[in-house]
Amino acid sequence: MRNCRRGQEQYIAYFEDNSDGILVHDDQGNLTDANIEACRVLGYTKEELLRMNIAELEVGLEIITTQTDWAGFLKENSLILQRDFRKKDGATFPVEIHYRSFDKDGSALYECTIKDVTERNLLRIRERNRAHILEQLAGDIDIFTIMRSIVQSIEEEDATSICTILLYDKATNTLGTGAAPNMPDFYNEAIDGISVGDGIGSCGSAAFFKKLICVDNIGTHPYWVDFKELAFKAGVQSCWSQPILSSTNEMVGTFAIYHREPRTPNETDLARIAYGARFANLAIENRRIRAEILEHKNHLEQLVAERTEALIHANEELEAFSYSVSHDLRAPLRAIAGFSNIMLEDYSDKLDADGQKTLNTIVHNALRMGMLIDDILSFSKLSRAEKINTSLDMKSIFRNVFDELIRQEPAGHKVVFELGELTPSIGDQAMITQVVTNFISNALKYSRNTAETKIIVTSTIANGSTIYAVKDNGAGFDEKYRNKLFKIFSRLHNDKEFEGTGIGLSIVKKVIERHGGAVTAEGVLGEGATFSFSLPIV
Amino acid sequence: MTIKEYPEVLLVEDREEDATLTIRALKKYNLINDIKWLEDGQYALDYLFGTGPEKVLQAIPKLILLDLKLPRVNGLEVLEQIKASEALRSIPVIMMTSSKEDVDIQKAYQLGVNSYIVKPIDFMSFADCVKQLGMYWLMLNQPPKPTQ
Repeated sequence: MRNCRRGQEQYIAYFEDNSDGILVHDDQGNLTDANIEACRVLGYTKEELLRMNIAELEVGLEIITTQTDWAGFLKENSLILQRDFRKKDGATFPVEIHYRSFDKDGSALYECTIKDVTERNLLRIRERNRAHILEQLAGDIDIFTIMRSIVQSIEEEDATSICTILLYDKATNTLGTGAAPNMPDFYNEAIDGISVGDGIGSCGSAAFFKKLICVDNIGTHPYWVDFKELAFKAGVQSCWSQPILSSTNEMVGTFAIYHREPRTPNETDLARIAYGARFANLAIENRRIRAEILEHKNHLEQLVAERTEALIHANEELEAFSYSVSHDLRAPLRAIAGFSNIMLEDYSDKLDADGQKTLNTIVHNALRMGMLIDDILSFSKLSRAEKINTSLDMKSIFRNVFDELIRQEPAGHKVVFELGELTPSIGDQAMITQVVTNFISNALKYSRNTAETKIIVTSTIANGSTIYAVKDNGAGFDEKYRNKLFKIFSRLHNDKEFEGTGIGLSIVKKVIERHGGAVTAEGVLGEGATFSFSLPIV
Repeated sequence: MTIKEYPEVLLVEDREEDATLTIRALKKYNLINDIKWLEDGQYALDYLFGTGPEKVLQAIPKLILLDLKLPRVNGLEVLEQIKASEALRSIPVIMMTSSKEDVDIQKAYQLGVNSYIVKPIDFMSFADCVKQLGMYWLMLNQPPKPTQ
């Protein structure tokens, strides 16, 4: 008895203090109990509710006359239902009903806990719409379509509302239609281009004051004197307008919610309008930045095109320059050498040994200058020439180059040429042939004074590249000048010892670097040198 | 049309020094008796086509040595007109020039040049080169018989 009483007290406390509304009905659906929250939510007194049937509260169930077999309906002990309920004032709202049956004094009773899920549903709508709009933003959808989606998403949250976005034009200090899909065209056309100013409707004023303007009744508000008739014709009587401000507080436009009757915004409305304006700004700012990036990109592309053209022009000039160097500088040299020779041939009887030596020096230097011109030209051409990659049979390149060069060697120069099995490579045939020519001709030249010249060519693979090495037993070089070897015009020997222009190895370096490889040199003065170049592995 | 008794070789060269060296080399090896030297492309065309103010009669040389860079009408233009002419087309034309620019060489061969020689700076090589040219084109080579 005592236990039972305690249980009953506990139930009453649970029932009355519950934050959800609880209704109890019998197996006929007639209400037998209702807690305070249920009365509050539905707008009925407890007495009124106890005279009603559950079916009268549920939207769409009024017409059901047959008694529901509640026991059969509730085969299981509990059940969750989604329904719309109607309040006493006629307003409807979505509810989630938790059903539970229990036994009281031998007859079955049914307890329904009613949760108002308006908020929850709204949140779901907002989440769904937000995801959709963010997807549009991430894609290529234009800003007007996106603004329309924002407007429609707010209209879905407040089914009796009509929303609009107006965009601010700084140059004219006016507002123009951004999105207003559910406003009549005549209204949008009339509003398009209205000035921003104190008292120019809700939106013009909101933009002017940079703050929310809520006109609860268009018919009586001074801001709407000039637009009242237009608003009535469009069927709207209240307008709340929130300025859309950028992240830097710049005026972007306005977000407005209209209703067909005079209406004062509640907290939910205010939160919603602020949300609409914020979201609109997010979208507009995103698209503005996108446009800026695109413009920037186009600008850069244009800049690149301009620079490329300038570069092509500069290259053409260089081409013309080297053309004229090639032609015009050689001709006078030929004349100097030629006429000196004529003098030597025709006037030998009038020239003593000194005079002949002088003329020979002139000829010699003219020829040397000719070589310099040729080398400089091929060096400058290298950077401009297009590199055409083909597979290279390195062994046959070395073989052909050697055979060609050995024919030009002085007859007394005996050379042993050891050509190993060389790994093939990839590169520009002409350029690599030039590199090989430079290496072999250097090896021959600097071993001219060596009694038994030996040139050994090998290839090894290391660190992802093939290294081709040309070893000779010629003059070699002092290691401390190694860094000067590949510098243009720098030489380690004078012309009396070995002739040269100091360009050959810098050409080699340039070619190999263009191929993604490197050149190295090792040497011992008087004992020989090893010059190597690497090429990427095929 | 009266055909002038032709010179054996027509040399078109704007630089007197080069002309002198060429003529000297050809004569030294007794390759020619008769050579006509003209200093620019327009003179060469006037001479070959019998046009121009001096009303030179048309001349058909056995060999034409043509420089590339010439005043007024350049070597390639002269070459083009020679090779376009029914009467002159079969005369061997040797381009002799200072520059070894690939574009020039390609253009010259497209226009039908018979040889393209880069003049060496070294006099010995130059003389040797001219000698070989003369030997080949004036002695070894068999030209077609004149049609008229």
